[in-house]
Amino acid sequence: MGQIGYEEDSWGVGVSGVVNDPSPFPRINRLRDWYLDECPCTIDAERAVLLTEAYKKFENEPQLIKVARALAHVMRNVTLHIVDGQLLVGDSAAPPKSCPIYPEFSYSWIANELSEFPPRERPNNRYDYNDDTERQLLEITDYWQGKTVSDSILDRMTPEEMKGDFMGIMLYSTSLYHIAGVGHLVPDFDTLLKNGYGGLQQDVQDRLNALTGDDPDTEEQRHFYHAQLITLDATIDYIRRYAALAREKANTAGGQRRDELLRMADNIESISTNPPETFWQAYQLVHFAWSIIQIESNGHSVSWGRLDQTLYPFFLKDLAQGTASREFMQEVIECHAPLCASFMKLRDWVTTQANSGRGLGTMTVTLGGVDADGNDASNELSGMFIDMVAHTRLGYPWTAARFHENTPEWFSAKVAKAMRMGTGEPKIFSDQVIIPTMKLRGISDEDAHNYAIVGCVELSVPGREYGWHDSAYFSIARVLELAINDGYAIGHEDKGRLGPATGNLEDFQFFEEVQKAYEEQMAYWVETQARSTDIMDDVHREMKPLPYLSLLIEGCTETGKDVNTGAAPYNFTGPQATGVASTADSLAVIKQLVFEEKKVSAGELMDAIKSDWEGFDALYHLVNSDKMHQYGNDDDYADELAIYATDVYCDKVEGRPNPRGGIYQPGVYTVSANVPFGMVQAASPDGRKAHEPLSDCIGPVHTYVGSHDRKGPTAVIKSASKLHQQRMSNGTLLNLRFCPSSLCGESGVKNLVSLATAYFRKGMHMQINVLGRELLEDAYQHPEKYRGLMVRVAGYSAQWSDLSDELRRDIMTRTEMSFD
Amino acid sequence: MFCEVHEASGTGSAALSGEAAQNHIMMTEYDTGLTGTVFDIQRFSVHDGPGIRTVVFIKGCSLRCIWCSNPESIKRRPQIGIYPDRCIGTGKCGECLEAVPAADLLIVKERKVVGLNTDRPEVCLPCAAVCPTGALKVWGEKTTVGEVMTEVLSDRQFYEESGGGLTLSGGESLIQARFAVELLKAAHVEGLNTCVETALNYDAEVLDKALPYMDLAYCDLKHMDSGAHKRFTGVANERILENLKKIVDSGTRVVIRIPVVPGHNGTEENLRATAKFLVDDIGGNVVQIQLLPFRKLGVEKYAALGMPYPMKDFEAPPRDVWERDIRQFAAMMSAYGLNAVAGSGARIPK
Ligand code: SF4
Ligand code: SF4
Repeated sequence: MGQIGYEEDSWGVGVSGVVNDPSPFPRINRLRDWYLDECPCTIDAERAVLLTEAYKKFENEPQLIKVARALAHVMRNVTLHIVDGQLLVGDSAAPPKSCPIYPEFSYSWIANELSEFPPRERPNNRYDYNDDTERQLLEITDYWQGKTVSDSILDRMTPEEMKGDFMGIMLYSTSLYHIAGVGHLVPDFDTLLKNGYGGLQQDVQDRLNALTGDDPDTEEQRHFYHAQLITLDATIDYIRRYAALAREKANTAGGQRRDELLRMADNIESISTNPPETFWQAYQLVHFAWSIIQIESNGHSVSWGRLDQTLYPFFLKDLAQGTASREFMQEVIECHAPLCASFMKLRDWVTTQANSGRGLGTMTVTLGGVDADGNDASNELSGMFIDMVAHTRLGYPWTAARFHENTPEWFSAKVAKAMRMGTGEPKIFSDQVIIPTMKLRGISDEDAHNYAIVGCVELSVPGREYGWHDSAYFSIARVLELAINDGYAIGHEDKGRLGPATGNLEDFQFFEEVQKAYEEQMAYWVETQARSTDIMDDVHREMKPLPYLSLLIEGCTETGKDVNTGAAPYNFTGPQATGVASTADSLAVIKQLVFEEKKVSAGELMDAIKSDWEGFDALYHLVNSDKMHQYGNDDDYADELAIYATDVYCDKVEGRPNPRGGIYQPGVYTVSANVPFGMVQAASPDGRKAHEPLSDCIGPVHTYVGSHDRKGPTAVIKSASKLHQQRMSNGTLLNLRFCPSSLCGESGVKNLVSLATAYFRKGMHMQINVLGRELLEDAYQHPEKYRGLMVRVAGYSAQWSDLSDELRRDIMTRTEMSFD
Repeated sequence: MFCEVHEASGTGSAALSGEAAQNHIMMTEYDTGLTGTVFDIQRFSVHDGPGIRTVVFIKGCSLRCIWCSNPESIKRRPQIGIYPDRCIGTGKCGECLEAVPAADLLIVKERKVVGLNTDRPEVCLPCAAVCPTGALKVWGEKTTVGEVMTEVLSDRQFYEESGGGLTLSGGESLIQARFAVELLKAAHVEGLNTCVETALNYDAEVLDKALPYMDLAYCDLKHMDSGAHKRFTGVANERILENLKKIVDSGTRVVIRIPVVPGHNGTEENLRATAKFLVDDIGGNVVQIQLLPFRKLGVEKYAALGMPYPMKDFEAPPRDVWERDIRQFAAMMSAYGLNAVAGSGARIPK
């Protein structure tokens, strides 16, 4: 256990969450212990059962009405919980740390896993449930057969769209929205805080009353407003049920807790329709608004936006009027951590091995940054959220800090001190790069200044954007494989030629021909991937309208149209390139060894990768050695190839229209998709063996025999800065890992801030891992000793003990960037 | 403080501004063509001076400390380290055997290269050049001031943000005096902060040339007793102490570094004598004294270079015990009114 304190200078370096009692508030430490030690992870059937009942009952209603009634039925009947000691309430339609089930999106995998590989028998990320739950879940299997979003998507896809997708060779994967909801947005909390649910209700009612005519479009609007009203009624009742529960609990509680529960009941009752008056009420309302989005759909990364801005007026008012003390408001903020961490999402076993997370996903709070006029927006509340990170260390809610040229030193230093704890939070972003990038995509100056982070990496305009930010992962390393193998996937020759016939490496006289083949394959695969994604977009629009969410996205109520139809001011689709460095280093090997030095023939290189380097030992070590040009060393030769590889991807993605009237925009990051994408690919020329992970995000290649970056973080940053990140408007991520000694003391903080500031001249987003190798190796041997150890996996943090063996090893082979 | 060349080149890629600066300078202010031998360049160094720095390791040393953990730094000419563990076998690879100028230069045992049959390792450089695994590794490369500065300046943006710059280390960083001084001068022309790590065993003229370009000096003090100093390092300490006075008198800021080796110089007697010397003869004019814990590193490096390891049989005390002792020594020296700290991580006072 690390020795730490509550103040920012004593938060510790590299100790992560392996600490006891990090909060000055006993309540928070108790909640944290409850969360970590006492509350088991489970699966809950209630939402699935209630939803199925409603779908059966309202089967013949218009889709909008049906989904609204189903959501209402769940909210009116689901069991509610208030955790002992909590100041905030609002479940996921399941008990804390229990996964609700969303059969409307996809169900066959759940039924299969329950029977074939029960989640309660998994080696990691295990979930408990009793036989009753199992029976209830199996009973609804037949009903959902052929009725899910996923089933319809599959029906509409042709073999051509499937062969490259996760059902085929997985050159790209659209699996996320294929089997689940979309999420990835920031709701419009401001309007809700201003008008309350009562105000929203009035607005919708007025608009409904104003509708005249009976053409199909108006009829559709009518359904939409009806659906919104159904969900609003249910929302208000749902919130009141919490007030009643708080009163009921107060009856049996003693002393201070009794008063607390009564005050909670009053707060909750009041905000069921009215706008909030206090900070506590405002926070509670924001949480309700968010949690109901999650009951409606399991799309993850529904984020909080700039809570330090949204809640600031309430904070100031409470202080001025003496309604609440700073300390109490800090406690409320800290209460949110275990509550957020209690939202869990069941993922299939294959995804679990790659993503290894239980959490619902990146619900990010964005802090700091500039305001609409370009002035610094950080305030006392921004700092209090950073304190929350240090005092809870649960990884939830996620936090992102926006840095800009005039970020005050106190704020950047505080963020750096939180980062060096090693929980992977907060992540940091560059206003300087991001604001112009967003404007390039047609986002207004004011909206661009107000951006917030959703998901691990992506950038979004709060309340005004439906960005489909995580629509697909797309392996450019695989594109290169097909480009040098005449359109065949190595190891899948039996499937026939999959991409265009662009020739074999052996046929090429010049390196330019490799490039031409790469560009042709890229055009074909990007388009195929986009067609699959468009099908999903269509199906989501038709089958799973989101009338509740549409209350909280601008443009929907105004036009009487669901968010899925493109009613938001900004609509994007964002697929991510994975394997940047793998592709760059592969291209460098081909260029340098085959075409320039002519050390190996094209045939030899192809034989080597087709045989997984077996019998090509010297070549294998050579391509992994410092005798090669490799990305991540500030070496223009390799870095130019990385620019080229990503530019070709961006060229094809950028601006392609999507079904919601918006456009595609490229992102370049992997989160942890580099692991599963590597798992399904043969060896590659960069010195990767078959099944080894691809390179992570926009970081350098790491293979079993060594890391390709040899010059430390400044060189990695220089290389990454050369990429044309201003085009990668769906986001980029650079992960750096440090050993604690390089970040200790005042100078450690300063150096970290300096690194970030230097990167942010050209780079968008940086995250760090701080781990001593010693600690990591011990943690590998004894994961049980490291309760609470959060590590940055790639784009997100996870509990070390929840990681798969493969992921743990992947993290351990990353370079330790340090000097003693 | 940063030179106008960079300012003029705007906020473009720092690599470019580095190059632009380079071209500008080549014509005027420092001798880019001067050559020297460097065995490593480490970027993002954070414990060798303020801010983020690049350390250039200059090859060659005039001392022979028995505890030296950088044996690759001692000899001035390039050397080849042999790491048989990394050799994948002459059967699978054998690249070196094809490149070797004379058949019997490489010692091969059980199909692995295990040593060199020559005391002129330079002749084997072609083998190391083709070895794909690093089993044959070259230590020391002839390079120019211009080449080194290109690498150093590529991190200019990080120095600007952090107040960092160039640190020269070794070996003895001033043993290739002209080369080292030219590097320091170049760094100053470019507006970078400079630090020098030195064991001070050279003629005073070397210092005369270097001091104008030195912002901070890290000076090693190995032992106060000249006889013991000679026993442990091969040379007496009188000239070293004179040079230390000279640096301090020049007004250059000095940090003292003492590698504390148990039972050798890591004794209360020696460290008290050191403290007394610093107070009485130097007037306490050093900004910090760093007591660095000796760790038995470098065993493999000695073996790889075919050099005997003088501390082979030395048993270091357990880490926690030794670290506690060092903290006590630091407290003891601080009682003389000095700023003595354990390790190299503490912030250097302004
Ligand atoms: S070149 Fe290197 S790896 Fe190959 S046989 Fe020689 S020493 Fe061994
Ligand atoms: S002065 Fe330093 S480099 Fe030289 S021998 Fe002594 S320890 Fe080694």
